[in-house]
Amino acid sequence: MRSGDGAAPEQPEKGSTPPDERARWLRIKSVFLEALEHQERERTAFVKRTCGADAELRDEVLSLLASEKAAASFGETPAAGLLGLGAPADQPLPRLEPGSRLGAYEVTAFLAAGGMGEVYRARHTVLHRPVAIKTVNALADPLARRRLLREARHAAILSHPNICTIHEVGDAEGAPFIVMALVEGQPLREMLRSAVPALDDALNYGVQVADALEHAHQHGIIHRDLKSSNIVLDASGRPIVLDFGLAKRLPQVGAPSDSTVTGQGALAGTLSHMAPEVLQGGAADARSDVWSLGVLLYELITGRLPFSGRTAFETSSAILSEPPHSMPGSVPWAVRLVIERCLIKNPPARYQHAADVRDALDAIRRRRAWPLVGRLFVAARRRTLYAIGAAAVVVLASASVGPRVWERLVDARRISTLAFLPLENATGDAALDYYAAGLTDGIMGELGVATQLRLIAPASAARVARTTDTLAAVARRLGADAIVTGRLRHAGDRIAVDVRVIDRAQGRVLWSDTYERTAEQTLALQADVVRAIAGEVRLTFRPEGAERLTTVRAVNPQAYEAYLKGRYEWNQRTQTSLQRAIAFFTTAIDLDPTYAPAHAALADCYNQLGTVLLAAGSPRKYRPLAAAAAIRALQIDPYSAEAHAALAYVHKYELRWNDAEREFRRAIELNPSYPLAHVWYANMLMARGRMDEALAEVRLARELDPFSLIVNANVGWVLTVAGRPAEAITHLEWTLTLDSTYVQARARLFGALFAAGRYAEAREQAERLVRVTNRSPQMVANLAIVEVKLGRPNVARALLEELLARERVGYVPPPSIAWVFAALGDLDQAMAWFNRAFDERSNAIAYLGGEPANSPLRADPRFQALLAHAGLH
Amino acid sequence: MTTPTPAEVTGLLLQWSRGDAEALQRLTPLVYDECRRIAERQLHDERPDHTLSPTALVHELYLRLVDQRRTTWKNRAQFFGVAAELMRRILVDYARRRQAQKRGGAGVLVSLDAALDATNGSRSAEVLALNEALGRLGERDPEQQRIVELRFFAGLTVEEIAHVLGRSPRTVKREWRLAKAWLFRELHPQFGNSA
Repeated sequence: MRSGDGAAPEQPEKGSTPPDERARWLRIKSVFLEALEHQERERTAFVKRTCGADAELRDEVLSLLASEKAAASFGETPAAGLLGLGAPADQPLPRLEPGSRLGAYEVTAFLAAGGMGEVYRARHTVLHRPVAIKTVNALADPLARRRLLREARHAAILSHPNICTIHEVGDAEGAPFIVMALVEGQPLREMLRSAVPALDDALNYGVQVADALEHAHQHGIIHRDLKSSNIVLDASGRPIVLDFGLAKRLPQVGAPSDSTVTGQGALAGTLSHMAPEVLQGGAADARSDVWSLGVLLYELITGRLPFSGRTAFETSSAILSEPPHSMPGSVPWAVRLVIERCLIKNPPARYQHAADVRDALDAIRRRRAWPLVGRLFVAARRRTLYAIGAAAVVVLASASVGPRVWERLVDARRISTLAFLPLENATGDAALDYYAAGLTDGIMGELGVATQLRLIAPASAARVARTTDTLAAVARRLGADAIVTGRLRHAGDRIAVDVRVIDRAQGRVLWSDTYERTAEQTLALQADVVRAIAGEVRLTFRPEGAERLTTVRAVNPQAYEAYLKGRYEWNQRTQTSLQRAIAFFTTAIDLDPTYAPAHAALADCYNQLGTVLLAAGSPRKYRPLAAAAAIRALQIDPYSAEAHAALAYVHKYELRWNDAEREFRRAIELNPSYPLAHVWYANMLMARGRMDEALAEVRLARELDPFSLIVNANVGWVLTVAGRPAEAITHLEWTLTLDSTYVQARARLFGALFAAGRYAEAREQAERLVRVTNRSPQMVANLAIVEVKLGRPNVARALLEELLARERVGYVPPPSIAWVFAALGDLDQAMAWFNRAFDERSNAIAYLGGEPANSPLRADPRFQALLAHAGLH
Repeated sequence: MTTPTPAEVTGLLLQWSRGDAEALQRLTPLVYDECRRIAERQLHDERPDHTLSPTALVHELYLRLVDQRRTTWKNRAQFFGVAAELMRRILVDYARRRQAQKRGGAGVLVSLDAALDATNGSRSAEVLALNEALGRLGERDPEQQRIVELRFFAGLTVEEIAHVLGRSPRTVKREWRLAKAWLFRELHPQFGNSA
């Protein structure tokens, strides 16, 4: 029967044929197919030769060959076509002659035809306004015709510079027609065939098309078939979107077929831009238009389609289940992220509104347009094809700070680690202290993203500087190749920053310079310093960093001030300071809604408030706020390491391990010098039992910010969980010498002492923590647990009663209660509270896997089930 | 009439693939209903010229009804085989009704036909004749019958058929030529006596 690779399942064929007849057919088949391999005139001779004495076989094959010749076109028109259901390519179409009248319009030329009607150029007989008229054939299905006209009337309410306006829907003796603006120009699709536009042009087109879509969506109109062939660039180079809501029902000017996709039928024609949910039969909505916009952007920027295949089948499979084809390396990261976010298969995860895409593209566009220096830099970068070496930086540096003596800098290229002292506030105005601190942080952050320098944090540098004689010695102690110092002063109504870079070896000044800007240009000032430092030490810019330096924007000075004050409060990390920080960041956002750092910082605050340690309220309340703020920050600034880290933090405690891993890595990739990203990532690795990696990450964080309290508290914690409590205790005791009031370090010290079995000392720490935190629930729980160990379960029970009483009137983190029940041996209650903790995705859940093997919880199958549920093993 | 779920359809497809003939009997009506529903939708709303694209239809059926993560290329070939056969059934039914109307029969018009009747130039007799001849071809060569169904009724290109069946385009093209020759001769008996 069939050969082994046959496609049909193993089952009996219907209408079985006797075996000899079957064999006969196979013989006929083989001679016939072989004959086809010969030149036509040789076939008869071949058949006669092959069949020999078998005259019957010979006649049969020759008969089939004759038939084959006659059957050339037979069967090539599919059945649907024969039945009049297929594409009506060869049906003659009635055409209106030039001079014909349609209502108040006179036809001047025929433009195009489609199955449902034709398109004409026409003009208003009185106003002489030129228009395009689409007729709707009377032959077409009346229901569909009615719907089309209704939608055309609906779409006529749209009025937007980038939308082809529908003037009216008319009727000439029962033959309806649609009158619209005549757009003369080149469809984008055709333009793309010859050349890909410059990035700036592509961004401009993208912003305008997105804005057009947003306008239509606001009016409840979905395009349904947005693609490069129904966007026309008019004479002034403005993109005009045609056929809103109608595209699928009307013939299109200048786009007889979408030949970029092979295959037959109209689905294939637009398949390339179709959203996966639409492809699967779902309804089109604003988000499926956003998908199509993503395809369009991809096309505009790369000249290719993101999803394609040799057949319609392959294309649809790609749309449904494969990532877009990768974009060339020349496409900037920011642009790439916007496109990728449009092309997320799951609609709720995509940009929800065309306005979001518009804003993201607009931000990129405006930033690119900003400083002349940046543009020079980009030009240089293009020429060198991303081998951004010293040459490009010379262009940049000389453009930004003027001619300078390069001989001085021969040694500078050795610099790979840079320490920073906080900028000194020399304005005489103490109110500007926060400004100096904020500017320092800003410069550090930007430099971290822009370059591959390892940066030692200012607070740590300052601490060393207090006890060290020379700056060169400070640099040496911190393991830095050079150290940056600077001061802030007034220069008339402007702000000036004097910066010096000092070499670690000889202590000589490698260079110094002054930068001045107005208050509005704080961020530009920041970028000036970053560019100068990078230029002076002849760094290699990371591509996204270079991009970023070209994207500096103005910031509202009040917003910036509020942001800096918020940062100060954030660093205190208490419940009330975080609430104040939130107020400041919210003010900053109100004043300047697209200032990304404020959104990212807001995310950090919400993340902290939902933790067991701070216990301001359930993570159910705070984590969605954190996620929203982080995502907003990323929409504005996809390079924000802080925002990626904040989002990773959300993912981590929502137990979405892979997402968390990806976002942490991205944050670290963007700014390897961001200590908190390393710390939080270390916590996640620890939760996952990847202790070696966790230790490596906290170690890295410590190198970057050796005297940071939060970093050192976490070093202690990771050491404890790694089963090294003795080292942890030493480390945390040292950390508390930096600041004895730092709660997190003391709480970790309690944990380390407890793990080491030093219960009496642990109790001492727990009591102190209860006092200084005003009876924070987790601290009360800690005390209760250690009381059990010290043989005082009654004390523990009293403390548990306190927690339960407080829980009835306010928020007490469920895991705090669970731990006490577990310590008292009530595993049923413990599990009930752990389950509640799991339900609210308490951050404590992530760390349950590190529970010591000898704990009674370990043996409880419910606990094991919970761990499995949380993806912990 | 509810839309079958991919899990349901895929499950039946896999059962059938493992030799459960009854699964096919349950699978076919599910797919048939969906097939007809898409056909009507194509004719009424979404296509620019109110035509039917069997190609788009069978692709859509596949994407909508089959969980691609659970299936292999072989299941895909099986599914396309079923879909093409159903497409054949739908089109042949349609051609029959058209013929009946031509003969003055008062066939009940379902909405599918109402839309179709706006068009002219039907060659329904030709389609019906080919359909019958194809039945006879299938008795001696089921593989060729499948190729004709995919090509003539489902409207797939040679490349697409090759992809679906896991054969080379060259093989499909050669089989198609023989099938055409055979069917043409069936429909034009004068060729049977030549040579």
